Amino acid sequence: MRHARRHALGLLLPSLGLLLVLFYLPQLLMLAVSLGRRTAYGGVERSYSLANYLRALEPLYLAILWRSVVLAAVTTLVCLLVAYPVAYWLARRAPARYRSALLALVILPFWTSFLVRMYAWIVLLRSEGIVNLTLGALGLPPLELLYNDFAVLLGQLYGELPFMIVPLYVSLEKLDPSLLEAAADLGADARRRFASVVLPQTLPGIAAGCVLVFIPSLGCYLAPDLLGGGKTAYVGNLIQAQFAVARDMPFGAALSFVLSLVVAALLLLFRRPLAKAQAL
Amino acid sequence: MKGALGIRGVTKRYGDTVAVRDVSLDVEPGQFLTLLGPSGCGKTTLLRLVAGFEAPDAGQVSLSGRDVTALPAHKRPVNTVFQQYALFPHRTVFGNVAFGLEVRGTPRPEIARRVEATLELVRLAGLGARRVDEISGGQKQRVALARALVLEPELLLLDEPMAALDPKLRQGMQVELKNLQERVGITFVFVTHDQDEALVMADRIAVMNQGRIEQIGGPEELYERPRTRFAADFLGVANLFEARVESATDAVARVRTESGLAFDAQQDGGYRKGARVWLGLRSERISLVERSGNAFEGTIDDEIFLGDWTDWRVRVGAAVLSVGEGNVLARARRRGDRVTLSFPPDAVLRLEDGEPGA
Amino acid sequence: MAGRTGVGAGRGLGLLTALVYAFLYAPILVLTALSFNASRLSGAWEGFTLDWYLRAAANPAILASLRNSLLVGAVVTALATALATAAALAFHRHRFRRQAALETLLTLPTVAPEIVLAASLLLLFAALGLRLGFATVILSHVAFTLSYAFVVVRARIAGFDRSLEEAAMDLGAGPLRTFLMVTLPALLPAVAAAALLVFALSIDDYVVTSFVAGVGATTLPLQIYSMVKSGVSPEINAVSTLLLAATGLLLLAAFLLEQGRSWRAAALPIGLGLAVLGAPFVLAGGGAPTGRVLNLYIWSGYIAPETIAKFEARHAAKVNLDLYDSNEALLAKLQAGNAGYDIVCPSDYSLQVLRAQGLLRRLDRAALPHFGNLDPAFLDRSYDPGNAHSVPYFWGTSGIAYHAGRVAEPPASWGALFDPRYRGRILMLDDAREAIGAALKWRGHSLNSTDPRQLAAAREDLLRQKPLVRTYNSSNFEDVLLSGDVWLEQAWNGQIAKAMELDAEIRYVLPREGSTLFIDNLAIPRDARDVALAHAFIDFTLEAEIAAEICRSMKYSSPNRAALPLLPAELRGNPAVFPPPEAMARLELIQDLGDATIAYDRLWTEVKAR
Repeated sequence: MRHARRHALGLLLPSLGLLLVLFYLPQLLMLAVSLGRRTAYGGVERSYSLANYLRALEPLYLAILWRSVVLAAVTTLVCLLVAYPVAYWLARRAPARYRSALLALVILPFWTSFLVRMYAWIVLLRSEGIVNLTLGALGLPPLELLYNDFAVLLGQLYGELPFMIVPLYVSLEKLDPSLLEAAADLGADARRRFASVVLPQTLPGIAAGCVLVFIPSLGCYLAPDLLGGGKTAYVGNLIQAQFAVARDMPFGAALSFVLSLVVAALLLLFRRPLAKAQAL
Repeated sequence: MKGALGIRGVTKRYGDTVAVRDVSLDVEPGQFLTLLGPSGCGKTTLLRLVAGFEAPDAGQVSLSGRDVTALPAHKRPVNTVFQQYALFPHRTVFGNVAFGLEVRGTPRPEIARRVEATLELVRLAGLGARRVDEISGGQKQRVALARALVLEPELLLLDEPMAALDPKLRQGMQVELKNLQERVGITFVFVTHDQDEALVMADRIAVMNQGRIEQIGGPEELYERPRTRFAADFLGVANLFEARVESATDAVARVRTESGLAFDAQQDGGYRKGARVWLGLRSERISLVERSGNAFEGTIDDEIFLGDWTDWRVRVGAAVLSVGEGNVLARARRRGDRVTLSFPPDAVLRLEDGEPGA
Repeated sequence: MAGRTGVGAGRGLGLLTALVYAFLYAPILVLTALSFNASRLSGAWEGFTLDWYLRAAANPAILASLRNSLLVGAVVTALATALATAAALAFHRHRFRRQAALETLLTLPTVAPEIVLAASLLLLFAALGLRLGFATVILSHVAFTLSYAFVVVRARIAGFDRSLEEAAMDLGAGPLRTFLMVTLPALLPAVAAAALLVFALSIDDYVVTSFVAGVGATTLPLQIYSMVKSGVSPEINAVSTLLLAATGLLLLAAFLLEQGRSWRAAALPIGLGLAVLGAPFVLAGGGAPTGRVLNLYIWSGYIAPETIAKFEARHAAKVNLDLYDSNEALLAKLQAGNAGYDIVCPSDYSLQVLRAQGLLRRLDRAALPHFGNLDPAFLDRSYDPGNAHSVPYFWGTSGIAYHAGRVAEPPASWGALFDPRYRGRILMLDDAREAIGAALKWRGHSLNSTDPRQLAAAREDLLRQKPLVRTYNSSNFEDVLLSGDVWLEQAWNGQIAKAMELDAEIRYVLPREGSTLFIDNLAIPRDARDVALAHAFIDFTLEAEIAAEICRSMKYSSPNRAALPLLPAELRGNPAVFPPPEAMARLELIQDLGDATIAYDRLWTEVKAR
């Protein structure tokens, strides 16, 4: 089957080559930059020093990193809790002919600018916004919905939810209904069927969804800025600031590699469950 | 010559495991050959080598006298009915059957005509517009069959096509498939692990074990004279013994099994005094009523009720023998009864060990 | 029993799903409603109008950016989806020896923060000497969407029955036909999902595009971000609504076809959807210009289309307008080289950087006969002595904007922003230099101070202020003030001048301790291509008539002395646009602080970290 191998390589190489040139090579350049030094005018001076990495590990920055990990974890958890029942309903309860259309509707809002949608949320949530006006009309006291952690989480949930729903949907759709019948037949009640059949069978989807949500959440900066009122910095904001404000590219690069290391460490830590999930 | 399949010294390895080792086999045009063996014996791999999905590491496959070893699957005049049918989910029943004809560029009216005719042949007339996920398992199997037959292949390969059907349906399909094969006259190579299925349908059966063909022959021949221990076991010979030949004449040999039974076996030219041999004895050749040649006193240890007959487990000293008896007679017995069992010397089958390399 | 709980649970699930859909579509409903709202303010409903749609359709910048986005999106979707599908198929067809490693290589890019990807791509293009433009945008988008597409297709392909392909081969279909007739249709849902995702990622990408886009490649998100300075304008809501409607129509058509309806049934939604998507291509015109070309890279809201049209007519030239929303974006572009712009508009301190790095061309004063129109007060500043490299275009200040009806007394000092009485009603610019500058000024220091003690005091003040601050915002701060979310705020004057027209209670004051003066200047990059035309453009903006026109339409303060008499009285008398001379005397320019920039960044991070 040497022919098959060559054939497969032919299919693989364009993507691989493209990423080597447009992702890995630039990352190498970035790595070189992270070892350099910011010049007075925001350029990069070549050197080979770990100073930027040592700076990134100062308590000030570590605290921000930790907060980002917590936010990403909470976002992922909330997304999972909200998305699972939705994906379940879409994949197993929704009328079969409307399923793909309903799924497409989950993604449709993403065809408008995230920024525009975030501003729409501000219109909804602010002190004299639509939600509070509605509450007022009902004789209820107004709520502080904007510029706090709640708003950040809401923005994150809003931005990441489809990335959880879609993989969950795919794995739930593949679930063989006869397995559920078999479990019911063996006397499992609904909860047991879910815990012992549905959940294990959809682990690949859960794993994929969690990775797809967790990683971008780590680098998020728009929701904290716009809905959180820019009051708390997350590592995404920090990196953004290094490139776009302080023009300290070496430090920004070092921060981003630290972030990548955190991601890699987490992926490694959960390698076993992830691999198991993939193997299912 | 059209439809003749020739396999010469074909070997297929996957890494360190040898799936098919040095197999040679000839199938005559119009013949129904069954490859019989347990899972992992290499029968499906052999089928895939013939279909062209796999390329052999050594050897040659020829079809209608033409070497097709280097020919890719889509250029071989061979079609396959897959185990899980592999029906195209995005096409209707008609669309599935029409697929091969479309690929060949057959004109539309002819496609319609031939597809309808083939659907009729497999008794699916009128179901052409159905989606394949809307039809039953048996119907799916017929669609898979029609999809392959409509191309009038020189050779049809069937990879355990009955595996997913319930037993009742399976029996019906077996007869139907056999009749169909006789009607269309196409060479069939049929893979199964079910010996009954093999015996019902095949003109010839090739028993495969560990990548080799252990024995090949007609159903009766295989049933009556399994040559190896493996073939005997796989074809339902329930009593197998390892034994030593105590004495041998031109007519008869006296053997003693490891479990201590001593009896006569009809000389077939292979018994020599002092040799170690493997023996087989079909349970239905042992009688609890008549006396013929070898006879032993025993106790019924257990019974397995099998509908029209019963499989008695009879203890004779250290040995336990499986004895089959029709239920008209069997009704009178129960566990713990003392019985006399007997069998003629010609019921004893001498078997080769058959282990590869042994 | 089991059946009943099942049905009950099903209803609960359905209800929850409905709620989640409501959640996903709530902002969509809001922006759709706003696009039909007669009010420019995103607050109250003032009646139905189609005005914003007409304005969007008449705005060449919006149309061009929409066209660019659709073009980039289409090409990127085709490329990334095809490549990713091929790669996923490769893994499906063959088990490679280093399968896991190869797959990781393909999925790893999803892990990288977007901003890092953006900066690293700019580094690469600079190293390769590639001209920034459409090609770099497309390449970059393919690079960051490919992995997502791969993940989606790969997940689906894992469940794809290989025997389907074998069956097709077996029935006589060669590799290509097998792919087209069996593999692709079977994978179509996954490929379609991947394509949808790629398109969504591409059309919404701001960060990467802002780094790698070059001349004429401004996409919709770049346009939107540059316009957000004055809040999301209703035109943008109109464009977003149309884009959604078009997408929705195409999805509806796909749904109808999937249901087995005829093409005729799907023709109407397809036609409408394509018409909407095709409109920007028709309306924006395009095609290669024949005459001379001027590539202008400028702040959004700094020049009116009519003004550009006048220049184009006079010089038989075509002006490509690309917009940015931060000096840093401009610096990154120019420092990478090969941006291809003829004119840029850096603010004072970034001009200082560009000049020091030799990235600007010396101006030929002989080609600028109207230079004399400028007010000497804005000339010969420290960032460009003798104005050898630049000509001031607009200037402005930062100060305190407030709602007169809400604050107890009119603020006169930066101290008002640190006043606990206004807890939760204060907005600060989300800008390290401005926020720290305000704290420094309040204590009577220079806003360019690098004295560690003064900076430490500023940090303490800002930390004490933080619980009082409702939000840090340097984009649509005037919108937040108008909406009543805050009562007083640190602000730049231009946007407040516009807000004053919407609400008479909005006031602007320069604090008595002094504040920031910024001057935005036109300059010619070193690698400009049509230097003569660039000079002609600069001189054009210096003409009194033109300068007055620009000031009138954009409401920023003009440094053009000769233009002032031509301005309407209410504009000239607006203290937010032209502050009194005694206040002017207390203004200070922000300077690039070199290495001390890091100290400011750290200080700001410390404020934000709590």
